[in-house]
Amino acid sequence: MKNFALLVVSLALAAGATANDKLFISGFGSIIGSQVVDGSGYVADYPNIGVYDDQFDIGQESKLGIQTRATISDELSATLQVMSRANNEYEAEVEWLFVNYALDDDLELQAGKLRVPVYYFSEFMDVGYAYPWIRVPADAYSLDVTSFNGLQLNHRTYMGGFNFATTLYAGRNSPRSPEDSEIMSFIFGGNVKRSFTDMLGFGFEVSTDSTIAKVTYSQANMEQTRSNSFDAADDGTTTTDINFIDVYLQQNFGSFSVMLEYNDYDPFYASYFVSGTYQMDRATFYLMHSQFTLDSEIAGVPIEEHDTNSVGLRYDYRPRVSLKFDVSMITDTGVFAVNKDANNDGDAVILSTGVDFTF
Amino acid sequence: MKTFKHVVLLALLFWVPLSFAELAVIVHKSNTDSMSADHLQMIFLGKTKGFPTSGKAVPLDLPENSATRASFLKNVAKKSQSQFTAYWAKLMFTGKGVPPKVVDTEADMVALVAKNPSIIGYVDAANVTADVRVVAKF
Repeated sequence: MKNFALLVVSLALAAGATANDKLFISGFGSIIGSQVVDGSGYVADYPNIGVYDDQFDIGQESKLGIQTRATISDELSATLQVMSRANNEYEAEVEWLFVNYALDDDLELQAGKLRVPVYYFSEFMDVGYAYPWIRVPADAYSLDVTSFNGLQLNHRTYMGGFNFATTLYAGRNSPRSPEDSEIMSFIFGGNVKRSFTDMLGFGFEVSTDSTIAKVTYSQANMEQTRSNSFDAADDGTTTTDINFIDVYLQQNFGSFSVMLEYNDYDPFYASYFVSGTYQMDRATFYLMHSQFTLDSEIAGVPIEEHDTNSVGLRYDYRPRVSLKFDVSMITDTGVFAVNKDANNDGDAVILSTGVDFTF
Repeated sequence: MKTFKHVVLLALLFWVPLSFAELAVIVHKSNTDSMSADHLQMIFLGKTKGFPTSGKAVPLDLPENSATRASFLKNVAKKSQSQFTAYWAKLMFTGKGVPPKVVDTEADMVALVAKNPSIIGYVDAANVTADVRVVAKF
């Protein structure tokens, strides 16, 4: 499968060299290097497991994506996006593969492998160039299921100064031989396999030039199989009905922007982030706070709970290249720290720098 | 006083031509629509795929180093260069749109607009020819 994806991309690139109007090739990437300067570790990327320790590392969040879009007819196009991630040994993986059918100017149907559109930044969380921070807020973007196979209906319209975007999707993420859910295996130990069926959700967004408001709702049936657990009693298969609600608000005041996102993943956890940015010419300064709280508690204390405070800078170095600098402090207040250090807590300070580009 | 006059004259020499570097948004001669600044912005941001009454609209863009493009970003797209790139990166990599195709020169832009009723572009007003219609000036 991985070789197949590489082959398709190579073919597409070769075809692109002939300047074919029907084929549009583009891409994006990030090289990110970080180091924990105090504490034992920091999980910067939950879905793909990007974890830093006290050695400078560019092999956790660095990534490259190449996308080809083929126009088949006026209404029909096909898109393939292949990504290579450092924390996946740079193996090429198909992130998106879908056909897009324009039912009319405002309505389109997509079928194939798509990103689960739950968070505001879900569908472009890998495109660092498209947002101010060095990474999407780690505590608030921890959902392990990021893609699904299915159908999605997108409707967009404009009325009286407002843009309205509505999305409906349905599908499943249940590979024939499910791979380990890396994040769950990382946190629980042992092997955790998860598959999601009957996924169904919608999103609704209203925006103007200065304001964005978006809400999404998703539900699914999750089947989880644990094996080799520390406690054998935890091994076995369980099925759970899950639902996920997310609310995103953004307000721009000239050079200032404020962003707020809250989500509740029933029956597991709630998380949120709040961020403020200030743009001055090519520089954008940001402050961010994000928090994750697991619903399960022991003696009134959440089993997993952590928050991150970040300060950073994005500098638009070239039209398609931005440089980023970030200092983040994580405080772990859960019963079991995600990255326990010598002080027996999970608190850490991490320095990061990176370059994001698009082509 | 004489120096002052020289300064004013010099300032005028430089200032006058700059202030007359006008941006012209151009369409095919068969297109009779009048368009608000909002509608033009929507076309170039992919928020609408059509002219008010003249069918499908396909926007074109100039290279990033073009001075005319800087004026276009400020007056029509109303975004900074990086905001415009980031905006299209978001749409493109989520399968929701393709950014305006870039043509190399303003002469190419005029030629393409003159040929195809769907195309909408922009050039320095000095480069407008009788083969196209100016729908807005900034």
